[in-house]
Amino acid sequence: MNRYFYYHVLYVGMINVMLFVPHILIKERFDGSVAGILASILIGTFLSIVTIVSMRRFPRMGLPEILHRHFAPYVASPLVALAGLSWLVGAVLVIFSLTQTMGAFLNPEMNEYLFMALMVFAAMFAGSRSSRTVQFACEILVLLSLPLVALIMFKAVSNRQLNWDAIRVVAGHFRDLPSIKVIAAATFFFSGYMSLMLFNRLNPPDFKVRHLWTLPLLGTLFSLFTFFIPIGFHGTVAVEEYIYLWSVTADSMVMKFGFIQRVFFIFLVLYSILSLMFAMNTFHSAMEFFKACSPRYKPQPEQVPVPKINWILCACFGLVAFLYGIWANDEKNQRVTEIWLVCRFSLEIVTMLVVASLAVAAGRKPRASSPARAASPGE
Amino acid sequence: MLDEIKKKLGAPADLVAETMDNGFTKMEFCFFPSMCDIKQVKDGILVPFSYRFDPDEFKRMLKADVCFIDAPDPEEWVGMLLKGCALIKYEDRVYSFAAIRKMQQQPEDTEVEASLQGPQSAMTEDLDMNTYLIRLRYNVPTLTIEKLEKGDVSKTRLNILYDRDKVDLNSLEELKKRLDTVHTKLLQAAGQLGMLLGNARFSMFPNTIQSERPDRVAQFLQRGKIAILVDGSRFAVAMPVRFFDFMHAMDDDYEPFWMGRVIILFRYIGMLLSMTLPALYIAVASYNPEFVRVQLAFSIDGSRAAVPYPSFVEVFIMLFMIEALIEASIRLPRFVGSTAATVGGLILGQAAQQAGLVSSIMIIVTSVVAISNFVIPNSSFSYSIRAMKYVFVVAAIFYGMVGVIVTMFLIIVYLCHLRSFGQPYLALFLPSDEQSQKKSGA
Amino acid sequence: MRRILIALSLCLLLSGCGMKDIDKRFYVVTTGIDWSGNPQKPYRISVRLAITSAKVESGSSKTQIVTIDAPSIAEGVRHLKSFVDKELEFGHCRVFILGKELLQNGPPGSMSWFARRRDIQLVSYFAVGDPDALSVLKVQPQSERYPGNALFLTFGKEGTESPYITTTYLFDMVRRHFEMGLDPVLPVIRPKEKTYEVDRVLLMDKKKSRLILTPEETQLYNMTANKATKSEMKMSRGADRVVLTVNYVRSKIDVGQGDIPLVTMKVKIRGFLEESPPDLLEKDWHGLERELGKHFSGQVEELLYKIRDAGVDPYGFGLHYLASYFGGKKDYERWVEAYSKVRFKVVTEVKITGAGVVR
Repeated sequence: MNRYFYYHVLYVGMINVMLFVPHILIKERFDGSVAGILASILIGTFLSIVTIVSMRRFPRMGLPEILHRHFAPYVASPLVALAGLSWLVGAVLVIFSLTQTMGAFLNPEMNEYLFMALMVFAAMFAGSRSSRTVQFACEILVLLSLPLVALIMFKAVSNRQLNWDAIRVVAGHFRDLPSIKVIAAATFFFSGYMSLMLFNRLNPPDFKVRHLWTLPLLGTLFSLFTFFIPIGFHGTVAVEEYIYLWSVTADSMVMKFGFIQRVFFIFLVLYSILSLMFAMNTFHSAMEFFKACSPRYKPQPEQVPVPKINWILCACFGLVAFLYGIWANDEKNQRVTEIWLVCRFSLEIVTMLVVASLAVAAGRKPRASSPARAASPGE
Repeated sequence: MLDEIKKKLGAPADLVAETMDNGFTKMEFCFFPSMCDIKQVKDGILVPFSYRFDPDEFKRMLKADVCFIDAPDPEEWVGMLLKGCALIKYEDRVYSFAAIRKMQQQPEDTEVEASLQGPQSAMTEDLDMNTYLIRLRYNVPTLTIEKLEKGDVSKTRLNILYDRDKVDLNSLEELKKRLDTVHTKLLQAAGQLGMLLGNARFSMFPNTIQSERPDRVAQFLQRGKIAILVDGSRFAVAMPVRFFDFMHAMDDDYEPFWMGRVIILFRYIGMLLSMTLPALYIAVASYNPEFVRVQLAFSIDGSRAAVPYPSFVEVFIMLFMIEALIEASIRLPRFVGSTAATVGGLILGQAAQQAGLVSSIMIIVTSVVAISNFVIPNSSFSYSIRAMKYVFVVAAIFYGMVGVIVTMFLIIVYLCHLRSFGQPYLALFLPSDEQSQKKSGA
Repeated sequence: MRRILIALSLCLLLSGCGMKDIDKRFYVVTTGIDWSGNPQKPYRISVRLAITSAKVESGSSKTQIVTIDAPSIAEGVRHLKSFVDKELEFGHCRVFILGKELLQNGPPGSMSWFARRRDIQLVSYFAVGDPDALSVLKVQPQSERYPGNALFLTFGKEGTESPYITTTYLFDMVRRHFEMGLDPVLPVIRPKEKTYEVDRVLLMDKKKSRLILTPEETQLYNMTANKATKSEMKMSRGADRVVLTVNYVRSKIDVGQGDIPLVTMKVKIRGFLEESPPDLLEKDWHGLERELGKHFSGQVEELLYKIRDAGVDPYGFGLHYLASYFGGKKDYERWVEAYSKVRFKVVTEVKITGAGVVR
């Protein structure tokens, strides 16, 4: 069960590439990005560990159940809906940039909307499954993509064209104060733990996330890697020139003996899988959260066949994604993403505060009552 | 009794129905000689009744011998006769004597699931023989067998086997629920039962697994699965299944560990190739030639130069040819089969390419697809994979490389979504997890 | 079933765009850009197109060359499409050749075209054509199996691995073009009958070409900057000649602070003697090593001063200076001022592993 938690940490740690996080960081590389990353390592670790430890008080419960248990419906429902909305926006943004990237590099002549329809359909189908299915699919997909990740990482670090001097020059600018945007973007590397808000429903009652020390380690690895490798390949100045920063970075590596010569295509394959996975998880989370707005709703992690309401909700999400695709362009999308990153960051803080204070409150009450009640929502 | 039976059966010519008289007493006696084992009938009834007749002993035999069953109900008589029992009426009581003719006296050789060094015996088309074979290999007191009859006309006997300590009760319950809903006139094969049980109309992958190997069935039982033996079929149906069961051959367990793993890995690669290669060909040839390295792209370009139509037409032509070839070599009698393969192979391999109808690379693709499809150990699963590749082809026609990737993603999600009798179809489990699952499920 | 049919027919209606078979595309394998001399249409764009065939054998590669003059590269390429019967594709164009004259006339304003096109690989090779790019394109190497393959193999280090050849990727050129304290380097290709001569490099500053190194210097540059193995060190010793085949090179740069910075380069070389007078090695192994090292250091120092005087920095001394002292913009300005007076010191440590298979 523990490993399922870490799959979420892994793919969220990598998906930032599709959400312009490297771009945002690179833009301010001389004014506080490095400090921002360092700060976010502390902040992200703190947020995630406090939240995870607090969640131990609520076995087999997701965020909606926790809120409904402690607040009246008119307080809880909007909060749950807000959380769902934040997931949904993430999904929409990733679907949009996936369509843009794939459209630009793989099918430049294809109708954009037709392309988007495919992505939206895939996310809809995958997101509307039951929670358990989503867990299983995550596992298989992460395991399939890990070799590709390892390959790209290896290719990047062992590359002779990687200019360590450029990396050192940028790393030297760690004294400037970071902006809130940079910190919000950089903490996204640690956001994988948020999946616990929903998938805690599936965990057994005595569940504890073990090996917590890996969280800061993984987050640090991802953030340093995402930030510094492009600088190493494109120098301190030219990095700014590229929009699809990591695609271009992957395109700077060659596989001499590969059947596919350009690492770039491996990267595209990897990121389409990761983005679809992220879209699946976010669609699913948003769907479950919206369903849980009603206090009477009983979560069911395993539902076969898929109920109609899932399809309807996901179709709505798909429609939202599609409409966003019609409205947005590269520049607007970038701005929306930045806003979303900041909102998500503040929501994460709010979530942590709420969950932690409720956990403390629950801890003060006599222990006997809580397990008995906790068992009920899972049944 | 005789009149009644004759009336019900319409006095068929192959029915023997006589009143026998040995000088002391009379006995009404009827049976189908074609369905009964004559030797048993002779030893069990005729000899004691005729020249070794002793009224006391005969009566004692009728009472004590387990072969003779009281059959007081006239309604049952016809059914018993049709199954191969002999009926006698002695001193106003009716007894049935089970002398069912057996086609099989010994296990057969494996035909579909051959193994190099594993056990060579396979199940037969006789239910009792099969039950014996499995009891022999899975010899534990907890093995439970339930009997059942299915088929309105065929009245096929079924045995449901499971280890009652290990079986998953939810699956068993689900199976029984599904069995209740199964209604068919003729039940002739295990595969048919599997199809009726698994929600076949909506599933692209088999929901149950068939095997002709008793060692395999025993392994399934030991893993807590349920097996159903169908009379008249040499295959057992087992459930619940997981994706990995289909890719597993018994030889993997009998060979050195690492060799087995390597072979399994090759099998998965073969499965992937067989599913995606035609689609990848279309994607590379029509959408993303820059995907592969330049020398390879130029090879494809050169070999396609003479082909007058788009790549997907070429793919469809070749895939149809190879499917036809496979189908033909399965259905044709063995003597003609090799001719078909030779002719087909020659035409596909040489002439089509020289005539410029297909590119030489496509021929390689086709043969790789066909060959790697054969490495899948389970035939119903390999049918599924054969069908899946068309999904990929369609996706590649419309979306190129992205279509292939997205389809791959969708299929993985779909496989994870499938449940076989309540158990996840595609999911990696560690033993500790399984236990915690059970705990939380209980 | 009905739903599937509807979905399929919808797809059929919508699709068809974007599909273009590989045999309907014309692959550009090499692109050359020259200075035409005409101020209205300054760029002469020539592309070498691949004509593929089913039979692949040595010398079977066929190509076609199309040329046009245009005011910008993008316009020229668009116009070129009307000259050919199939769709022009740059996806497999891995070699771009810039004319020597073009670089002397300053950097082409529309150079960002390369980085901006999504289908041009950032790992494509850039080189300079001497005397111009078109004449390089016109060469038909005899050994070529696939169109354009000769240059792919030359620069990709898949075929020949020569210490005279420098490989410059597109992304590397873009990086060097913008970077503080690191300048572009391009290999020079000279056509010679049915083959290419690639044994020089051209050094640029941010604007135009400054210096072309001789083959000897090119080798030295490759050894010290790119760790080019399979190279050689040679030295005259009286009437005899000593040649060391190098199979390991490492160099380390150290930039000192101070008003006139001192750049120290430490080079470690390992190799075996390929040509030497008999018994030379046994007489004085260490002496020979020292002597070789000293000789090499002298050569490299000479080269470094020559590069410095041309006002270019292909080694990235400036960047290294910034990296060493975590400097910012001001430090860079200081460095630019100081660079023309920088002093160099090269220390070479040679290790001879033997004299080949003979004594």
